[in-house]
Amino acid sequence: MMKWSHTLIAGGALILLTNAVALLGAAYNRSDEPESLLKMTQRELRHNRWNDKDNSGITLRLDWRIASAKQNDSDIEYYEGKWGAPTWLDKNKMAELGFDVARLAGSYQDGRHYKEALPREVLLVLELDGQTYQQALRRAGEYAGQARAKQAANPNDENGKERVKSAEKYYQSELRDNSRLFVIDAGVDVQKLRASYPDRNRYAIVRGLVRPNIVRGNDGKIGGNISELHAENINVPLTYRRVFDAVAPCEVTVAFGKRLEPWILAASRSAAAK
Amino acid sequence: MSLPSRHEAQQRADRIRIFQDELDRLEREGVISLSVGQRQQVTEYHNTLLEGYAQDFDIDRDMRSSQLSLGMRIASLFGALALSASVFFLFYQFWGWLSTVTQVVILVAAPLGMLGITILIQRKDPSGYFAKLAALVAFACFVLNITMLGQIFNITASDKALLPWAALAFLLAYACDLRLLLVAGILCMIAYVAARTGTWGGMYWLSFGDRPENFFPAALLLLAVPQFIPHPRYASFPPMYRIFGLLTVFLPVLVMGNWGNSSYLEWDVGFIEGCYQVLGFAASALAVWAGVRRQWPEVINTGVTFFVIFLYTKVFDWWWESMPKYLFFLVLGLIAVLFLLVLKRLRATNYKLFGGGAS
Repeated sequence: MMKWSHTLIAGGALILLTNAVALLGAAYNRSDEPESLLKMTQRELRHNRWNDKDNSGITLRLDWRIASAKQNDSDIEYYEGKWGAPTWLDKNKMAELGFDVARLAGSYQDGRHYKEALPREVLLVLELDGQTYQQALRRAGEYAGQARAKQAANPNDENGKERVKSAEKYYQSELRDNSRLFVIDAGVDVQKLRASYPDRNRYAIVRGLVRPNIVRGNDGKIGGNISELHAENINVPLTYRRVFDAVAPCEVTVAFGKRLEPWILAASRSAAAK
Repeated sequence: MSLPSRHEAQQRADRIRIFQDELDRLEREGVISLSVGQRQQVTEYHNTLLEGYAQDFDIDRDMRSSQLSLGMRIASLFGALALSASVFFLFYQFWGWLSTVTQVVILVAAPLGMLGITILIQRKDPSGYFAKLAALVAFACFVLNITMLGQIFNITASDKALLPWAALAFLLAYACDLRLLLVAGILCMIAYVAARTGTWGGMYWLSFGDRPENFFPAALLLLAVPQFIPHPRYASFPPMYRIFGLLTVFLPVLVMGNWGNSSYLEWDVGFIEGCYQVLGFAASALAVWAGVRRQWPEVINTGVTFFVIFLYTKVFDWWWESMPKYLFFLVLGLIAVLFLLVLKRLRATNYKLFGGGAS
């Protein structure tokens, strides 16, 4: 067997070296100016209170969404969240992300599309309270208006009353509660994406996974889903713990560093109250 | 003469016990009769040897202590797993109330401290039961250490973490002669090599399980280790490499034999499944042959087990729907009987057909 001193030295060196690599990586991520800086609220950062009994740590989850695809009257008020295929993630974008779209199309023809549906790691652009959110808000408002107009034209329609109630509730949710953080684009080059979205206080670039999605019918239309966002969970350090102890409005400044990994730069309840 | 390992000492002690029993019997039946002097000489030599082994390695000197040892091994395994879980939950229970610096200091100090404690126990307790317990807790502390650093600093998960985990598991396994840690190291290594293979194939590292062929390089590596690296002082380690090497071949083959869509190959799915089914039969038969030839019982057992699984899977595909159930299970039973006959014949011929074990 190995000499105990050799084991101690080798094991100690291994543990220290591994920790050094991890800590230096974290320090590098946070060095210099952040790549982006988003001021979010409880609408975009959900406090995961699951399993609180055995876990004293607080982790915030980035509540990102996608702009839902074409909607009609029956599904306009459906909050799609992160599921579904973003309209911008089309065949051309998939090709730009490195997917072999010709092969994907071929795989659909010969029934091998399950085989090709493996995700790729890409860069995703997050937009906070931007055009996409305004569109979603406007659409919810328009739908509520249409529902009210229909109800006014046919005041005895009981279904119409329910539709108005539901549409107004959805509009209020969109106005006050729903996340304003949308994934609006994807790419493979940080510099190129930053050139397209220069406002670092509105647009953050993060890493995530895109999985090909070949829509049945429509001759196998090629698109994609965002299946994961790597920076989704953000740890709350002890300094800001009190902000999240109770359910209350808050404002959190999240920085994304050189490795596009997030951390909390500031958090307060008072700022949100103002 | 070099000092044997604990495993070798135990093997020698077992042989001495069997020899003494047989000698007693031969003397009782009048086959042989040692003089009092010779008898005393042999007994004294064995007693000295056994006392030395007991002092150095805390080996089992008789059947009763061997049975107790099994209980101790089981208790030690469960204790180690429970203590490791306890370490995880202990940290999770309180980490939210600690500053980041304190968290990091605790996380780094825990595996270092447990490594020191493991080595201390290893030196004081030659039985190895407590060292196993401490070693697994040290490994758990290191896994917790890296996992929690990732969580604290929101570091993107990476397959690279598997490499230092595997390294520490192997280090502890070889330092304390612990198979449990060897298995932990082997599993980390399998995951790392498969993830790297997947990454080179263009996929995201966590998707490595979606293409079972990613496991084949890890299998080759595991099977090559005992072939090219001699383990004279760790007799129980090469069988573990071979078992996990074979599992890393057979399980992916079993998956792709039934779900050809998961393969990298561009051929027709049915053809891929057929190829892997044939490969499964051929590889398991080859494993049995190699196991018999090289006298590797673990390889024979793994090969036979998977040959039966491949065969039963095929039988299920062919006849489950078409046959009455009594007939289907009768066929399974007959196959098992056929297997017994084949293995019995192999045993009766003392493996001469395969050129092994003729002694």
